[in-house]
Amino acid sequence: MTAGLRRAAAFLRRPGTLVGLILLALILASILAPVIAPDDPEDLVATKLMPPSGAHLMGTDQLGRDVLSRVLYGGRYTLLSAAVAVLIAAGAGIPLGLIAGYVRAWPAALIMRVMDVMLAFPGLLLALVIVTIVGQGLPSVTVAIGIAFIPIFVRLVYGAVLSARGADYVLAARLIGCSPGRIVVRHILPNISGQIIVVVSSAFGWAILTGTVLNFLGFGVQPPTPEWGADLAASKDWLSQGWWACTFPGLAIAIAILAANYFGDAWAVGSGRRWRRRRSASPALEASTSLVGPAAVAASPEEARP
Amino acid sequence: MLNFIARRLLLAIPVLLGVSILVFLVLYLIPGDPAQILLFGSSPTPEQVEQLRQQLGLDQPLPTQFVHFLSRVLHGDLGQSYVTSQNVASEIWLNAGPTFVLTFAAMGVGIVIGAPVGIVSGVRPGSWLDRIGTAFVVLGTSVPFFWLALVLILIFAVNLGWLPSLGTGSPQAIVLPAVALGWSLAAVIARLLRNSLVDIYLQPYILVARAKGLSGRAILVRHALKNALIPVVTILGLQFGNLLAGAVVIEVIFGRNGVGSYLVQAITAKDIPAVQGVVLFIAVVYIVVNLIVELVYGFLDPRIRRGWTSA
Repeated sequence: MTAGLRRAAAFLRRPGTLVGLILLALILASILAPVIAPDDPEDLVATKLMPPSGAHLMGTDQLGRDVLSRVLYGGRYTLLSAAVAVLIAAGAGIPLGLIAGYVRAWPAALIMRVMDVMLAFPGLLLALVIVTIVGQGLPSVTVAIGIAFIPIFVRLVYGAVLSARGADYVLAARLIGCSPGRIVVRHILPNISGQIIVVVSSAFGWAILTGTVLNFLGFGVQPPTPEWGADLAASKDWLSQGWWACTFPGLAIAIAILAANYFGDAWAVGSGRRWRRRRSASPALEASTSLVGPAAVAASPEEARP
Repeated sequence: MLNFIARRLLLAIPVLLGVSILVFLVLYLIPGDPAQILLFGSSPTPEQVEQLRQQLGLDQPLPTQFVHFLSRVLHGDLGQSYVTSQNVASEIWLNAGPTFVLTFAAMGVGIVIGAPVGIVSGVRPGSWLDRIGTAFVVLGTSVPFFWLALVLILIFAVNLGWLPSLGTGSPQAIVLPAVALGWSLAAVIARLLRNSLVDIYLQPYILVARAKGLSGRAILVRHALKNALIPVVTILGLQFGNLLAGAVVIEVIFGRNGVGSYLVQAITAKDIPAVQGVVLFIAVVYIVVNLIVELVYGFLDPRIRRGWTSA
């Protein structure tokens, strides 16, 4: 066996590879939907509620649309919306966390008190409140989730910066005369990027869950647009006549969340960082990984555990 | 201990104040004139809008309005629904019962399923039972709870016909919603309990217990579990909010009455006072539950109390 093959085999055996490939496959399938989908997702191509067959691998739904095509196209809305939501949350949360963690004084107090208030609402409830304010539709749902998830990143970065402040490399940077801005962006941020990647990955999973819930409740896309959560809601009344129309979009959501959740974990294990074990033993992080995304977290990771 | 309780209570006040400011602002953050928004759908005359504006004090400066809002809320008055014209506080009061029943039933499901799985996995990490437990955790945290609800309906209500799928009528009607809502909590409890037990079994004090000849069961029950359960108490508090929020969806799916289905109706109808009332209610319940959990936590674990009083 050549060295290249051995390296490839070792890569395939790594825990993150499988979930990473699943995630990649889902994203590719969504991007390539117009090429690989057998039918137009909004066309009534066959009889209503036909069971899975050679012509329609996942059957047809209550209106006679091809379920496979709807799942493929639906991923574009579901996954893109979740990705944009995480971008909004990280884009706002990381700078706020850096400021709160390094500048301290009144900006820190102000930012962290606002985050406390946001965390006093369960994530899904906060997203529902924001949807009430900005209105319904997929863009609103995306923005709502993005805003509701900001505290996750602020908390993470704030805690990480606080513990990095006293580190030798930060003292060294200060000693050679780096400005606070440079220390934060060029020294601290790269050092906590591993933790950020893990949380981005999990947040993507929570955003998929929260987004499909909001679409399921009818606050997101309007028919006939295909979206996993909305398709579940539309086909749930025909559950007894055809299980497939409801099962496949749900399965897609479950696989996407699984891949997103465990990609972060595997990344942490793969890059051999010990902090992940410590953090995952903390109730605060545990609490946020279930049901509806970010739960309120005890005042700080240190407080949550003696 | 009294000092600890007083400190925690004082810390909750700014959060409660912030929450009420946010809820108060919902009406003003919606683009458009608040009076018009409140009269949504009734195509009001300008006189009616003006009358409502004066009646609600919408012509006064914001801080004054907030003080009015706060004193109203503190007196238990959450305003009137603009759709049903009912008192929002009494509607929430009526709906709170079924939601709490559902939430606590889900919590029960979470504990009854999650704790045994976590203990079995944690006592023998790496065994085949632990592998099954881990698979359960992976599935529990990944399967979306609202899809699980549909799958449960399909299997147990439609195909087997064992349990009712809709309504709040019979006592059995709680089973499927509670399992759907509590399933992921069970996974969270199982993983947390497993991880803390694995850590604890490596501690020297467990070695001491073994050395003095205690049986495995005595070590587990009297020494390991006592410490492992402390973080579980915190999780139950933090998860309470998630369960309340998840109940919103579960109530809609199973056609149950409760604050959740009331909230969804209110958002759909743009019934702002009702939305404000429910959101405030859930947030306050969530804060109070976590306050209680922290106090219980401090009571269970002297290290926390002492850490606080010396700080």
